[in-house]
Amino acid sequence: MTAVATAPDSDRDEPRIKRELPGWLPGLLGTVAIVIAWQLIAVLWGGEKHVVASPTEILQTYQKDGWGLYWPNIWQTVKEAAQGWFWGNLLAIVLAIVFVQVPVIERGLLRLAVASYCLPIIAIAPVLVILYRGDTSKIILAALSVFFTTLISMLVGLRAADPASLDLVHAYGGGSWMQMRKVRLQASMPSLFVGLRIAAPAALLGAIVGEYLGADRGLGVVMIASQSAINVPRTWGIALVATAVAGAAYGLTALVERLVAPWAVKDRQ
Amino acid sequence: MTMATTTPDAPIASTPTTVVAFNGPDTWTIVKRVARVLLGGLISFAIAMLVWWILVKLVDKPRQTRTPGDVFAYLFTDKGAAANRQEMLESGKITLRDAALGFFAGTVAAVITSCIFVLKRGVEQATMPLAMALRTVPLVAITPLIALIFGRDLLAVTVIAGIVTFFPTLVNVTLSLRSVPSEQIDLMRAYGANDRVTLLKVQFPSSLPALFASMRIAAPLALIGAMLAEWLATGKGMGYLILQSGATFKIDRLWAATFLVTFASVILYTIISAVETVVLARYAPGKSRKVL
Repeated sequence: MTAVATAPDSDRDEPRIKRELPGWLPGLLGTVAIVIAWQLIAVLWGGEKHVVASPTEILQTYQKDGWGLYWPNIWQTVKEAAQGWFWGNLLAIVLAIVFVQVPVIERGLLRLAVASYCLPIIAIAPVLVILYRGDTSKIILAALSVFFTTLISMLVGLRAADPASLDLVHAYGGGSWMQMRKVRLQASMPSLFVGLRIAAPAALLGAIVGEYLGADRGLGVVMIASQSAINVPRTWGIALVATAVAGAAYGLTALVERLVAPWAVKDRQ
Repeated sequence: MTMATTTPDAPIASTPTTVVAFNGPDTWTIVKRVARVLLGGLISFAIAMLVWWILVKLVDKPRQTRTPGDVFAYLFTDKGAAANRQEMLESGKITLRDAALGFFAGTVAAVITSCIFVLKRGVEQATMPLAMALRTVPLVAITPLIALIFGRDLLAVTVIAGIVTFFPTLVNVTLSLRSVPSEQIDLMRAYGANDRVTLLKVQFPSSLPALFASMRIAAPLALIGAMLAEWLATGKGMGYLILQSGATFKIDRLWAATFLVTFASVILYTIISAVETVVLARYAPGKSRKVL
C-alpha cells in the first residue's frame, strides 16, 4: 500500500527498474546497514574503551538476564505512563472543546498552556517528588508531557471543521453544542490522532524522568543503576527496551486510529 | 532585497492572496506583530504567577511549597540574597551555555542534513524512516546511555541537547523542503537553474517557517536535555543544583531555581516566536502562525 503511495513521486527521471522497488525497501536496507555499522563500530571501538555494546552483545544480555528482570520494570513504567497519558489527554481534549465553545477562556488559558510546555519537567520533578509520594509524581510528569501537544492538535482539529457543514447544522436550528457534536468532533479526529501518537512516547519520557529521581522499580531506575554499575550492555539493552516500548505505543495509537477513525487516516493523505 | 529572494514564488503563485502580499507587509506591521508577541509573553507571566500562587494555597503544604513572593524574597530581599543570586547566576550560565551549544549544533546539523536529503534522494530514502522512528522516541529518556558513551563532560551535554533538537527539526525541514509547489521547481528548471540553486533560492526560503516552528518547539526540549545531562553526567549547572536542592531539602533554593529555569525557558520560547513572526511576515505572508 505504501509502495503505491510513494511510487509516483520517485519516478521523475529515474530508470525503469527503480520504479518497481517497493517503497519500504530503501528504508529497510538503510536500517540493516546501520545495524551492521553499529556492530562494526562496537567491535572496533569496544577493545579500548568499551562504551558501545554491539547488537549481538545486547541480545546475549537479554538472554542472560531473562524476562524476569525486564518485565516488572516495563510494567511499572507503562502503568505510570498510561495513567499520565490518560489524565493529560483527557484534560487537554476537554479544555480544547471548552476553548472552542467559549473563546474568552481561550485567550487567558492558552498562554498558560504554553507556559506548561516551557515548564522543564526536570525542574519541577524534584518539587513534585517532595510533594507526592509513590507513583503520583510520575503520573503528573507523564500527564504534563502530553498535555500541550494534545491540546494544540485537538484545537487545530476542531477548528478545521468544514464551514458548510457547520452552516447546515446552524440552518436547521442547531446551536454551537450541536455543531460540536455533529461536525467538529468528527472533523478533529485526523489532527487529534497526530497529537495522540506523539503523546504516547512523551508520556513514557515523563514517567522515566520521574523514575530517575527515585523509585523502587521502573525502566528509569534500572537504566540509572546499570549506568552507575558501568554495565554497558545492560544500559544499552534497557535503552533499547525503552525505545521499543515507545515505538510500540506509537504504533498502537496508529492502529487504534485505523480501527476507530479509518477515514482520518485517509483524510491526512 | 527581500523582493529578490521572493521573486521566484510570487509570479506563479496560484492564489491571489499571495500575489497581493508580494510587496510584503511594511516595517510598522512587523513591529506591531512583534509587540503583540512580547505583550503576550508578559500576560503569560502574570497569569502563571497567579496560578502558581493559587496552586500553592490549594495544595496547602507550607513546609514544602513556596509562593512567588517567597522566591522573590529569596532572590532579592533576604539577608543572603546577593549570595543566592550569585549561586543561581553561576549555575544558570553553565546551563544556558550547555543548552545553547547543543541547540545550535543540532539545528545546523539538521538543516545541512535536510539539504543533503533533498539533493540526494537515495540518502533520504535509506535513512529517513529511521529518522522518523527516532523522532518519536523519547531520546531524553536514554540520557544515562549517552552519558556512558560520551563521558562526563561538556560533550555529553551537547550531544543530548543536540539530538533532542536534531530529529524533529530534520523531519520538519525535510518535509517542508519537499512540499514546495512543483510549478516553482519547474520554473527554476525552465530557466536552467540546477538543483543546488533551486534549493537555495526557492526551497530554503519557503522552508523557513517550518525551521522556526521546529526551533521554537525544540528550545524548551534542549533545556530539559541539558539539565538532565548536567544531573546525570557532569554534576554542574542548574540541573544539578535543582536535583541537589531537592535531595537535601533546600526548599527555598529548589523553588527559586525551578522558577528561574522556567522563566528562562519561556523567554527563549518568546524570543524565537518573535523572530518567527518576522520571518513569517517576510517569507509566508499568506499564512499567520496558527499554533501558539
